[in-house]
Amino acid sequence: MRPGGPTRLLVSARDAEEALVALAAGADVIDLKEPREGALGMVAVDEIRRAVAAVGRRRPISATTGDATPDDPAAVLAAATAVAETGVDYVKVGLFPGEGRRALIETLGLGLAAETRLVAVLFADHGFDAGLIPSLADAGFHGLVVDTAGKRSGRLLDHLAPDKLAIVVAACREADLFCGLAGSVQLEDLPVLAALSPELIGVRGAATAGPDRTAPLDARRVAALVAALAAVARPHAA
Amino acid sequence: MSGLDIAIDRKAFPAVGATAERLLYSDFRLAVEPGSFVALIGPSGCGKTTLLNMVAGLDRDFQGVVRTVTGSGPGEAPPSPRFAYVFQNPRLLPWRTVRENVALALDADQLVRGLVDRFVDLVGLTEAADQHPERLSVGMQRRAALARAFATEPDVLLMDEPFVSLDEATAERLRLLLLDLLAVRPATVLFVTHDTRETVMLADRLIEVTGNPVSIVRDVRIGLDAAGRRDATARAAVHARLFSEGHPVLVPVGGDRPAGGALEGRR
Repeated sequence: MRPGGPTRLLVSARDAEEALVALAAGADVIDLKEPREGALGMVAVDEIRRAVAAVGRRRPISATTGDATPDDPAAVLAAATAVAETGVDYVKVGLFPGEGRRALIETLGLGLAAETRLVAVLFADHGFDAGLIPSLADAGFHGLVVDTAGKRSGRLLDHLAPDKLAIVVAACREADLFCGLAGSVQLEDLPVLAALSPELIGVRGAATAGPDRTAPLDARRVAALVAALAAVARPHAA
Repeated sequence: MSGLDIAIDRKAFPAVGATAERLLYSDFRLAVEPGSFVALIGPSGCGKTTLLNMVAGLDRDFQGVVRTVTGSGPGEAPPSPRFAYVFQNPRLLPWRTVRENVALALDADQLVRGLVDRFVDLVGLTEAADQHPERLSVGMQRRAALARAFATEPDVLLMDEPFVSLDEATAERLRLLLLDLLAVRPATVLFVTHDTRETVMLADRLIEVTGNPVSIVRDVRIGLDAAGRRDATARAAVHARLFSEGHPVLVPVGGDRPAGGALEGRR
C-alpha cells in the first residue's frame, strides 16, 4: 500500500479457508484476525502460516497481534514478532490507550521495523490520538488503521465524522503513512469513506453470512463489497 | 457560528526510555469567541499542534473538555460543528484533479449546491481546476488547500502554520486570500504561527504561550479593521506596539469577551 495510492478493500478472515474465500471473491488485502477474541484477536501462528501458504502471494496478507495493552510491551512485542515470523506482509498492532503507548511505538519500531511492515491500529472509540501519527512514521511504521475497539459501540462514522476522518487521512499522507479506515463498516458507508481516499477500507461484519462479525465469511457479500467500492473509488492503477 | 471553550486539565507525554514524562498542559483554559480569529504564538514543540488536535477531537487521550459554544444572533452554531484543518503542507491527492481534491470531504448536499466550483473560483484556480496538483506551483497548491477547507463550510477552522516556508510575496497573497475567504464565509479560526507580522495582519487576538506546561503569557486584542489589515503602515504601527522592546505583557483583553474567559489559564 502506497500512501496516496488507490483505495483497496481489506477483508478479515479467521483461517486459511476464509482467506481463500476472500481471495476468490476479489478482496484486495486479506487480514487474518480472530473475531471471537476481541477487537484485534490473534489467529494462531500455525493457522497464519497455513493461510500464507494457501494464498501464495496472490494478495498481500496482514495479521493482527491481539488485544494486549501497551503497559505490557514485552507481550505485545512477542506477539508481533511471532506474527512477523509467519511471513505475512503486514503486522497490525493495536495501540490501546495507556501510559506506555508512546514507549511501545518506539519498542516496536526498534524491534521489528527492519523485519516486517508494521501497521498501527488506533481506536476511534477508545483513546484516539492523531498526535501519535508523526511518532509512528519516525518509528518506521508503514501505515495506520483507524478502527473501533468495541464492536457493539457503533460504526467508525459514529465516532469520527467525515470531516475528522479527512483530517486523519491527510495527516497520514503528510507523514508518508498509508491510512486504513475500519470499524463495523457497512456497505452503505463505502461511498462516504471512499470519498476520503484512504488507502484501505477494512470490513468483517458486512462480509459475513450472519448477523455479526463472528459468522463465517460469505463470498457473495465480499464480492458485493468489492463491486460497491469499485463503483465509488478510483480504479487501481495498472 | 461556534466558539470554543477549551479546558485542558492535563495532557502529558509519558516517559519513554530515558526520557522523562513531559507535562504539556496543566489546568489550561482558553475561550475563543464565535467568529474570532485567534493566533497562537509560542516556541516550537511546546504543544500547539497537540492543542489543535485536542480541539478537533482527534486527540482524546487527555483530561479535560473542549466545548463548542454558540454565539448569539443569526447563524447560531449547529449541534455538531464542522471542523476543517489546514496543514503546513497542502496534502493534495496527486491522482485527483484540483476540482476532485476540493470535492473530497463534501457531502452530497454541498456538492449539489456547487460549492466545489464556487471555492475553486474564489481562490482563483478556475483555469487549473482540471489539472493535477503536480502541475501547479506551490502557491497554487496552497490555494487549492484553502478551497478544500472552505468548501466544507467549517464552523471552526484550525490552521497549523499554513503559510510557512513560502517566499514572502506568495505568503502575502495567500494571507490576503484567506481574509477574502473569511469575509465570504466566516469561521472561527485557531491559527498556529511563528510569524508576528502574519499575526498582526490576520488575527483579532494574539495568544502568546510558553511551554512545559503550556501557559498563556500574553493575551491581547489586535484590533485592525478590514482596511487596516491590508494597510502596511497601519500594520507596522501595531506590530511596533506589540513586538518592540518592552512590549506590554499580560494586557487584559477586556471588552466583550464571555464570562469564564481567556485569562484563566494564566498562573
